[in-house]
Amino acid sequence: MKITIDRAALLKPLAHVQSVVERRNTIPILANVLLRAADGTLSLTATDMDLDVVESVGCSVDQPGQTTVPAHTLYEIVRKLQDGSEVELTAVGDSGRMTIRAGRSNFSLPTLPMEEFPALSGDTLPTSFVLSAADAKTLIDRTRFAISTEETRYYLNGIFLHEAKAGDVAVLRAVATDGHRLARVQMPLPTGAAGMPAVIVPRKAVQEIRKLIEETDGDVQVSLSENKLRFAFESSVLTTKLIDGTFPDYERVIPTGNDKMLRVESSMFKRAVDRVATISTEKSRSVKLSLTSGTLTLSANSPDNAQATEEVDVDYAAAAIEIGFNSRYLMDIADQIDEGSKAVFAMADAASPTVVTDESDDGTLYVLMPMRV
Amino acid sequence: MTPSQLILDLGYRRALGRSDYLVTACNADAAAWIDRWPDWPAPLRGLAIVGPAECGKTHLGAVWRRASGAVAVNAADLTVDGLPDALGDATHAAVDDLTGIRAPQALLHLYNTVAERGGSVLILSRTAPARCDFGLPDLASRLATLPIAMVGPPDEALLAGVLGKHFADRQVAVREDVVAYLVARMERSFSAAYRLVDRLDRLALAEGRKVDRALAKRALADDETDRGE
Repeated sequence: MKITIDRAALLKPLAHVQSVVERRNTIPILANVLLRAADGTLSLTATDMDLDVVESVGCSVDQPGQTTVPAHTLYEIVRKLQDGSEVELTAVGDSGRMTIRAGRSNFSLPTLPMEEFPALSGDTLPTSFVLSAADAKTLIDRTRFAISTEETRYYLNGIFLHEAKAGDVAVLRAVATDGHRLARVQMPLPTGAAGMPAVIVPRKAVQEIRKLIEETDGDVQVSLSENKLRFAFESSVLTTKLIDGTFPDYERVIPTGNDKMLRVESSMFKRAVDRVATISTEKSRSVKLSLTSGTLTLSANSPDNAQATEEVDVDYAAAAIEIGFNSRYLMDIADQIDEGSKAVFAMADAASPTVVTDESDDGTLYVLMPMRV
Repeated sequence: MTPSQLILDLGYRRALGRSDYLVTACNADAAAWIDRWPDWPAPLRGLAIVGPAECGKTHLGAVWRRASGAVAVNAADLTVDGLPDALGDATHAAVDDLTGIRAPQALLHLYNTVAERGGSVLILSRTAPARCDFGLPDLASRLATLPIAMVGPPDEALLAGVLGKHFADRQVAVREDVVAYLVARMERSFSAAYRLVDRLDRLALAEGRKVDRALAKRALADDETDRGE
């Protein structure tokens, strides 16, 4: 294999694929990126056995071929090469090495045979639909903060993507929960998604997909089966295995009869929570909300007797209530609500789930469990 | 008071298949009776499974209902007026939690109806039917004819299996040494197994941590405190 490619053109796909490769690998081939050169294109593939990313980029192919080299090392080399330089990659036969030349810099990396490289992608997935990059972004951004990070709680370690009904309307829903809060976003069901399997997309795949979305303005082709999901972009394809678990029946925790309604401008609310929570311990991060007609009083205290309160004018006319929350959760939700828009809190009591919605967006909904304070 | 995070009641689904039912010496008899159906003694091919709370009676009932197509009836919900709807045109019926019965007359009607239809009745109860005083001699005499399969207190192997199943039902990954730690220190009962797993599941979810030995130790201590030991 021998190719020549602009350093910047090589760096971008390498950045994508190398982030899939785990830093520590017990299987040597998984530390490598698979390079395939043919027909004026270099394709780069990396996998951790659960997900793989295939990137394609145009290049000058002097001699077609394929090999695998350590992904992180190759990425670091290319990253440190001078911007604007031409990079020549050469792997000769069974030499077991690939050389990287750019200007007066020369590197030689050990290779592993491509036959050892595991294949994850390639099969056809039965359900397929198109999402705009903006919609794909919304599905992820509005939910991923609520994904559980506790590894043994594997069925909550991802976003539950499924078809549902909102009244009579078929919708595509993304839901995530860590057992303390829940985020749900929905949008009209895309053409082709009817009958799709309900799947849990793992957190790592969510992060990688989100990075790829950031660099596209166009549409995203989504394909899935019961155990795999694929996001295809213009020059990259990510295929991931899905979480083998059952997502909880989350609708049971979304209350419908909460009648204590609080409306508050979200960014102002977030700043006030942030200020008051300065006093709260790092461990609990609790903040108490005391609501009386037209006024929200936020308060916090710490075991060493520090105290903080702040009053906020709000739209609230129901019976007085005191309710505690984790301040970080309040701010995470406030972050999802557009600047200048109002967050609507529907509360029942200090021990029951509170529903938070965005007054200007009827597609999102958050459920937050209080803290006992 | 230290602030504590409350958790969403996300629920879980119990696996109620035959292969999910763990069998050791203490429940082998009950499982064998279920597997043997419809080869139960005539005339009413009925059975009473008697055992302590959370010993898997409802699970065995679900296995049998799948095999027989029986309807499930909770004894507490049985009423004379509601019986036709509860039974429908089913031939067989499984009656859960016999001790909770409020209308013994309805159970007598159910028994007679199933007998007329040539069906089977499965009674699930914490107490042997003969020891229940329904104040209804006709019902008592009918129930007295049912063979009884007892589920005894769990042995260590079953206790470990039951803990593992409760964790698996809740999709909580727990190492075997944590299960062994619990088995060695917990009250030897089915209800304690259910209670501890429920407590551990909630604690772990509330604190965003895994179920490990340290958490198991706390759950055992909290369980003892709650039970006033």
